[in-house]
Amino acid sequence: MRVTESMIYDTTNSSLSANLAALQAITEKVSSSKQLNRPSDDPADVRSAIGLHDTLAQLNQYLRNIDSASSKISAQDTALASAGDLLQRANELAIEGANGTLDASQRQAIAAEVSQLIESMAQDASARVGDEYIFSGFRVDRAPYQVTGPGQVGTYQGDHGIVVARVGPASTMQVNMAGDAVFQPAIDALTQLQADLTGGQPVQQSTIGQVQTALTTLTQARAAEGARANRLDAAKTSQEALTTSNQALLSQLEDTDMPSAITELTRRQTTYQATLAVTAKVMQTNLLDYLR
Amino acid sequence: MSSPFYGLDIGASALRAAQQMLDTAAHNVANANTPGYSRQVVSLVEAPPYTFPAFNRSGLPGQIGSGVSVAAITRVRDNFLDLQVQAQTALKGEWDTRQQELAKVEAIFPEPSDSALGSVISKYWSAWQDLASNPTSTAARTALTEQAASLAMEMNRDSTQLGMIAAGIDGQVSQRIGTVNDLAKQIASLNGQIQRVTITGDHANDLQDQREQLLEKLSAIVPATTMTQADGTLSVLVGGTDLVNGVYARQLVAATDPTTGHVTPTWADGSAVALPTGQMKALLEVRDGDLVSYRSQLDALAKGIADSTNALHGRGIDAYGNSGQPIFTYHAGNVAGTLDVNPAVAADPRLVAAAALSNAPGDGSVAGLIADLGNARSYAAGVAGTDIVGGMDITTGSTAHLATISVGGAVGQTYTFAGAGAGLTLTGADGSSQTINVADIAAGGTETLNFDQLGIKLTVNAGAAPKTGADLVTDLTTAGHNTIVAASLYSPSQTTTDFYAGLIGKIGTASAQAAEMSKNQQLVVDQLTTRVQEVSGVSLDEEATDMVRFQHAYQAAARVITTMDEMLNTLINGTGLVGRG
Repeated sequence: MRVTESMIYDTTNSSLSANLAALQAITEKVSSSKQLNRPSDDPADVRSAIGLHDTLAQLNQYLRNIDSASSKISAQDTALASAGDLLQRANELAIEGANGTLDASQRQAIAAEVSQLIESMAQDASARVGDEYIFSGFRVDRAPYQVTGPGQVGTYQGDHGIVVARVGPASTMQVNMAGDAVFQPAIDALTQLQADLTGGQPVQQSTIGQVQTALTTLTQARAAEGARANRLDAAKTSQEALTTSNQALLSQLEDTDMPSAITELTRRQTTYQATLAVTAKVMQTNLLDYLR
Repeated sequence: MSSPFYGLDIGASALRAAQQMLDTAAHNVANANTPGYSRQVVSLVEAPPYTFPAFNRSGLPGQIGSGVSVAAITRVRDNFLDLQVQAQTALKGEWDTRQQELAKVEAIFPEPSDSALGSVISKYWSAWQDLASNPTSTAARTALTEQAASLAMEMNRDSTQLGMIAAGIDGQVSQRIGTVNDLAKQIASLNGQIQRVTITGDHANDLQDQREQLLEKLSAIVPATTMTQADGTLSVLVGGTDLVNGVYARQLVAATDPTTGHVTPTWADGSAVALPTGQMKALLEVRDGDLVSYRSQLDALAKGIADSTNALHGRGIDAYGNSGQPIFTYHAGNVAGTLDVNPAVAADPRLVAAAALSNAPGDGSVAGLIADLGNARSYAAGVAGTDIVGGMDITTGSTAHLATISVGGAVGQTYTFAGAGAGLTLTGADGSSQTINVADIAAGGTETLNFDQLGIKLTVNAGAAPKTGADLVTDLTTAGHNTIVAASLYSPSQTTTDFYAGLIGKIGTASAQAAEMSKNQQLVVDQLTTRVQEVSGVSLDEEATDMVRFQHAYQAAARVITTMDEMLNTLINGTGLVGRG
């Protein structure tokens, strides 16, 4: 095979170019610490990575939704606890008031306290998160129960809208409870109790029963709300775990494996230097150096 | 006996030959690095031998040689290799150009990343979820309009940049048409010169080298086939039509499409140029094939998001109690490029509709449904009013009972359901169902069903003025009730992210393939170039050795002449001197 000088020059040029190109590619991966710097680096992996980015964004959003829901549920819990205390007191007052030996002024005194209880109950029902009423269904701009006079409360002003939170991809959870389902029995019982007392009669057994039923309703509501809180916690834990595992997957796809990348970089540098050295040696000698 | 001067002639011919060979070697050395140069060799041939004339037989033993003559100076060239080089250069031109243009397309979508279009789309759907959780929050509404504006801007930007690449290609096509025309003229002119030289019997070596160089440059742009004619001219055909014929060069014309402004090369008579490969073909293919496809997919992505958002949003109620206005606007011919947020909504975020019902400030169900669109894989393709989202089935029981159904915003229509045990079942697309047993509700009682996935709420009351349960099915599926419809987003059905990732995958694959092919073609062309050099390249060592050889030949020839000269001197000055003083 006949070899000319230009063939040698061309070959070494191509080798040097190829080496430099490979060196540049690996340097980019090391300095950006990402092995996917453009879609053509690995189209299939890039597709998966885009999907994972979206998944992580959604998981992040679910966690935000869960936090927002949690604050509403914990406000409900506080309100229900307070309402429960009120009903406990009402229960005591009802039993006391059922005593036939009480006189009118004693009954008045109890009635006055019941009146206060009614107004406090309306206040508990009107609990808010931010400036939204949480027991009014969708009518978060209106208090569910308004005090219309001493010991008097108006009708339920909210609606029966169900507020949901998106806690997972196909998973929504009811967050609120309708104020009238929880508080109406209590208010009705207390109103009845007040009526009994101001009517000059001992408190009826049915009224005591009503108060106790109202308390049961409230307790059940609290239990349901507690279950929701647990479900939210579970969802939060689950989404946090998913976030971690998806981040790990994404990192595996996207991030450069530093040790092997740096090894590759060193190898390429060595190859490049070797090529340069060989080129210098080969291109030096020529017949014309030896002819006189 | 031959003349004593006969030997001088032989010596002279030797000197001439050695001189020419040295000159040729010098020419080779001078052009060792000239691109496209093929080494030239002198072919020597014995000069015609001389027979002494005599009557019956030659007067002297013979034939006697008469020296050396230079037959021709030819270039060493493998024409078959040249054809291969032209063909492979065309392919390399195609893949190199394709790779360069697709790299520009890739640069528009720096995925995967947290700031490119994919991420903007995710944030857009998230903004709807935030609004669904906080429908009274003005901040959530403002954030939504801003996120929608970001989405529109990113779409605009990407679409415009794709358009700019297409416009850049138009410029390159024009430029290359000019180059092809130029090269054609130059080849034609060289044809003329070569023809004049060839007719006289000489070899137009250097001119042929130049013509070969021009052909290589031409081949990179448009694939050319060549036919050498007997008079030394080269006919060049592009796509089967003559580009250069003898000294005549046809010209390409840049035809501009009046609507798109795109430039396409045509022959002067308007017929298309057949381009199986080459840079020109790659430019046209990227502009008219790949870019068109990517832009239309981007448009489809934008349209899917805009149309489905607008359709659902129209079923919602804004903060003023009115039906939702369109969130996005666009022009149908250029969806991604003209996508914009409805200026009324952008100016007043309270026009964003989160609720499905009026007078329900805490209702974020429509916002939630819009957020779910991001994950929507399939919806029944809908004509508004006839389809219910998720393919909901309603089956009714067989006995009657009085009930009032309010569907979405339509309140107060009563339906009769037959007696105790009669049920109303609502089944959602995910298989979940709720059954309401109408007879179990106390008179004046209320039962609320809420499929948040479907956004339809049924409230059953005891009432009067009955319709039948079958009417409920009809009513719910005709216009006038607030059924919520979403058109299918994409075909085959997939989420917005899947669709987008598919587009990026296509771009990445095309770009990676072009890069790979370009690299391979580089290797092929490099190998061919090496082969050409092997045959036609100047080896300085070889030339140096030859120069030594020719120099010795010259010295020997000069010595011959000196010898002849001394002989003549002896003859002229040394004979016949007898008797002179």
